[in-house]
Amino acid sequence: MDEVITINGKIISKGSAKGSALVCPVSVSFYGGINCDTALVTDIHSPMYNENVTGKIMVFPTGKSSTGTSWILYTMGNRGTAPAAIINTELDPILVMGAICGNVPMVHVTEVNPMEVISPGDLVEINGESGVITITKK
Amino acid sequence: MFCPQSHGFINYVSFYFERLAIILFLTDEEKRMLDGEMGYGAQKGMELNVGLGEAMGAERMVKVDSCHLGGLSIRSAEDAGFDFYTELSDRGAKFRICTTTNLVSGDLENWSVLGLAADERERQDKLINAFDRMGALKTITCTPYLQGHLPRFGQHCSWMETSAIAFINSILGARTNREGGPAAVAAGLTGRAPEFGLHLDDNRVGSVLVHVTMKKMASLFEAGNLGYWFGKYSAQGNIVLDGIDEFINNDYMAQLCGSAATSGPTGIFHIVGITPEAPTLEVALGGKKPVLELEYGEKERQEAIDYLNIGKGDEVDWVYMGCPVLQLNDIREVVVAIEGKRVHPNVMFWITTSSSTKMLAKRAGYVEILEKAGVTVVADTCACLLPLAHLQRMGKKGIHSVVTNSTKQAHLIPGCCYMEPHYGDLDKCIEAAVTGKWR
Repeated sequence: MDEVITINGKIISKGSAKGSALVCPVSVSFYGGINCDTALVTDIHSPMYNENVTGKIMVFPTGKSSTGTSWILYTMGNRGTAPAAIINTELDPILVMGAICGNVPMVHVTEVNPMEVISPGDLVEINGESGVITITKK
Repeated sequence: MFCPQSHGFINYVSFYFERLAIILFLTDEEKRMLDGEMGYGAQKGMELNVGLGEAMGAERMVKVDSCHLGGLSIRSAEDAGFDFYTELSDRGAKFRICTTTNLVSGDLENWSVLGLAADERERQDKLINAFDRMGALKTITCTPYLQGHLPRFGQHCSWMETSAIAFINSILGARTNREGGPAAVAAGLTGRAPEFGLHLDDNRVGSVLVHVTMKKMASLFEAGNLGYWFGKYSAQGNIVLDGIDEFINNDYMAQLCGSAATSGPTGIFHIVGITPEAPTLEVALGGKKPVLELEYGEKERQEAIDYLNIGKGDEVDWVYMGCPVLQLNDIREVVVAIEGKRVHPNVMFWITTSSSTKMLAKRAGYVEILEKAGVTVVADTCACLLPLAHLQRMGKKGIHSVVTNSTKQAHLIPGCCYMEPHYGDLDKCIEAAVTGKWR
């Protein structure tokens, strides 16, 4: 039987989501880091370089770099290229604003380190009401 | 339609409305804004403020009287920003406080040299016009704090732009969060921002201590390396730099701030004995022990350089300086370094600055000297704001390799311009410009 883990988070940008996990141990910038048309990670320094983020549950510590990130995430939300949801351990207001505007669910997790609990490719389901995250290990 | 497809804010705000009274206190005036009694712009702004405030756990709004906006460039605004701003301005929204603006995708006085396509130019004009109609000041600079918009110690602000946020918090002691576009616009339209994060004393103290043992830090390049190196630790806490005992001017500080906020989410840092909230190490750390202690010496400096200096081969198409935009003294340093030399015919050499600084550089005779040497002084824009297709049209056969001493640009160029930059100090960049080779 598949191993299933649940962890609790706080809903920051509302919505339920389900998808395959894309896990990055370092901060992420959407501006200059992700192409909002192709949804490919263009930041050559990122461990996620060349990955497609559309429909993925992105798990990473927090945002960084350009304040243009809000517009990129907002645009991706409108174009249907956005990740299914974002799980962060620290809240960067730039990313939060982009997630709210672009209708990308976002959860803040502090009780465990989600980058350790969730592995790339795990199936992750977010309950948009309770903030409970259910992880089915790959 | 304000929010294409989704009506995000309306849903979001109504989702939280039931809890509003208990969690987020609004004054009568703020409620009137939210109810639409004070116009469309104030209403939309307050909806955004409430949405962000609730998400971030704010208990009330704080009055802000200084706003700096990005997203004036068609490249950084993307569709969402473009639609958002033009919709607001079409519906008569006006900024209520001093609101300045960031760089655009082109030089307003020199469109033809940059060769922007007609449709791009038209779109950019339309976006600038939208800001104009809303009453934003067309400072068109990423360093407004050095071009006439200078907040004071303790002043609550709502600012965008990496270097600008870190500079006004850290060097000036003003207070802003790292604002994304919609949040800063909301503040401009309402004169309010949700009170959380760096508006509050407790969140401003440092907890990650960096002992700076590296000396000779007073240059754009060295300030950039330091900022880029420590910025990546700022997700773990606000950084405190101890051990810097030489004078670093505000122009270099701008570079330090921009770099620190590029490699990490740096909103504020402190330099013991130099920045206003760090008169002593104890005060900078809020009387507590640091959660992490690090050292910045020769080894760490080299790490930062090696991480960014990833260009291959020795061909040089483009030498680029100015991120953040160069200030008058930075331009003077380029003049001193290049005077009497000549840029190689295969090389396009740009320095970017604000239009107000360019005017002063003209008066000083710097622009003439630079142009004679083969340097183009570009105002109002930067490399990462140029539409990608345009880069392929520039120069003799398109731009395929770039050399820079600007740390933030070295970080962004791979993702924005799809090139791997050579990164080095002013002298190395000048040598590359003159010989056409990177060594």
